Amino acid sequence: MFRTRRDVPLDRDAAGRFLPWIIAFMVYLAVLATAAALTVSSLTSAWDNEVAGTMTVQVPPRAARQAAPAGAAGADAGLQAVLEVLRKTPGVASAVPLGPVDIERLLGPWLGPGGASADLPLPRLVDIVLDPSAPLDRPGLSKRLAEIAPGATIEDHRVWLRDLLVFARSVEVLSVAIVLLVAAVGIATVVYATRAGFAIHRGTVELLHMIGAQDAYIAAQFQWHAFRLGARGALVGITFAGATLGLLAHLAGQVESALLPRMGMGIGELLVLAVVPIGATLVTMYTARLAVVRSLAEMV
Amino acid sequence: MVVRFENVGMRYGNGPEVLRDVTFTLDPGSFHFLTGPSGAGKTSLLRLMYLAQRPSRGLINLFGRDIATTPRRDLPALRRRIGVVFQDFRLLDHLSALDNVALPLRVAGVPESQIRTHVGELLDWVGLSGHLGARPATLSGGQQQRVAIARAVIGRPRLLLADEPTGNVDNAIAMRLLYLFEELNRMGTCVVIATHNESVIAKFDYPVLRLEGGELTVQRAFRPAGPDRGGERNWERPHDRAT
Ligand SMILES: Nc1ncnc2c1ncn2[C@@H]1O[C@H](COP(=O)(O)OP(=O)(O)O)[C@@H](O)[C@H]1O
Ligand SMILES: [Mg+2]
Repeated sequence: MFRTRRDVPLDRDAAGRFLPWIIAFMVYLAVLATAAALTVSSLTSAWDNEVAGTMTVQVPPRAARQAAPAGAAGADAGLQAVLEVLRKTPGVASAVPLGPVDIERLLGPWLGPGGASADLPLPRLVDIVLDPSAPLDRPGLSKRLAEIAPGATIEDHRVWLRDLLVFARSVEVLSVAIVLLVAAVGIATVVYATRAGFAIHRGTVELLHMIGAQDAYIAAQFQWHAFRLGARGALVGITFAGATLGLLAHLAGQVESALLPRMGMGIGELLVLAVVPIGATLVTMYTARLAVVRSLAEMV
Repeated sequence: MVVRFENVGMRYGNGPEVLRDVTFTLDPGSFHFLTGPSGAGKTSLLRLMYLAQRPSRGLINLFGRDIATTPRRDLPALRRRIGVVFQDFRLLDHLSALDNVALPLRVAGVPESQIRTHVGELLDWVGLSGHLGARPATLSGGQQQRVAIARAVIGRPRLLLADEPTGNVDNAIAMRLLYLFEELNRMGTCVVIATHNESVIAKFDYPVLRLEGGELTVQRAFRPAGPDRGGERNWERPHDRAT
């Protein structure tokens, strides 16, 4: 496919031996960093979807049992009053108290089966789903809840999600930084290797010049040589990276956790990963070309 | 006019001027020897002519173009009209004799179908038809030189420059080489042969560019005897006027 004239015997240079390995290593790092960024961003958007538009109201046990000021009766009078207030509040789509079964499921792992029995003074929890079309007056709601159920708190899931998002964003920024750093080191290495190759073959290049070769004719030989080396390295790098990601996905599949939903990559993510080795090859090729053209321009 | 130098000076880096106020003109179809003691600047002068070096001052005009104002991208076209036989031949070791000779054509984008017959004929002409596939390292010095000459003339240059072509060969071969260059000259190529060998120069009747201490003097060819070759410009052959 890429048959070019090979008047400059670049194939025998030392660069042919070390450059593909360096490029392979860089592609490996860049693919893993990119995969990390993609995974984290798909995880956070999954969390965000689950958590967005929900809150939890926590009612202390004493406030839940107390009789409401309005005189409503029953063991859960306080809780009922809270529910009533919540359901009347604009912006709240639904308010559902967690029953004993839910509590048992939540606390079972810590207290053991049957540990979360009714006589334990546990706070009561109310799941709230927000109505995205109506704004919620949060301070107003807090004030009213404090009047009818002292000590009741509203927990916005976004608060802890916010910390998680900050973490996720940091991972993304770090990944991009790694990719950029790897690219910069890679470009510097290619420039260095090309310059070295140019110096080794300076006599041949001068001869080609003197018999009337255009700069482009000479640059093409360095360029396609770099392309071959880059493609070889990128292929090795993506192969090892693919194996590593496959292994990680396998390990993740064995972790039973709600925190790791769908670790698998979609087509879009795989395409983004494929850009890394292709980009590395093209960057190698054009970097070599630029380095040679600049060196040639310094000649007579 | 093929080459015109006007008050050309040249130095390497910050060193002393190795050429000073060099002025001369080479007409189409002319044949010149370039001579002077070793270190006089013969190779430097040739390097200026084949555009491997820029002058530090003065004016160089090649084929009617002032090279100082010629853009870089136009230089290859000028270089393709110049054939150079380097003193050390400068053959590419990894290429066969055929590929070495073909190089100027390939660089110029000549179709491969034309290249083979062309190069084959030329190598035949210099007596190397049996060595088309040979690497330079497997050829003798004389054979390498003939490959270098074939490479220099394959593109039918209008100007042929040879740096000490008779330096490392015995007199009989030196004469054969010079007859070869004469033959090229007869076909219209302007030839410049650099040599410090005065006895070779004396055997011919061509004008001499003489370098001494970086300064050039032009010595018209002059052979006292011969009814058809008298006068100042007796080196001019009939065909010179035709070109
Ligand atoms: N690349 C170079 N760098 C510095 N000085 C050089 C270089 N090439 C030649 N010289 C000097 O220039 C002078 C002329 O050299 P050269 O043109 O090779 O003479 P010739 O070919 O007549 O022997 C000499 O003094 C030589 O030392
Ligand atoms: Mg010399």
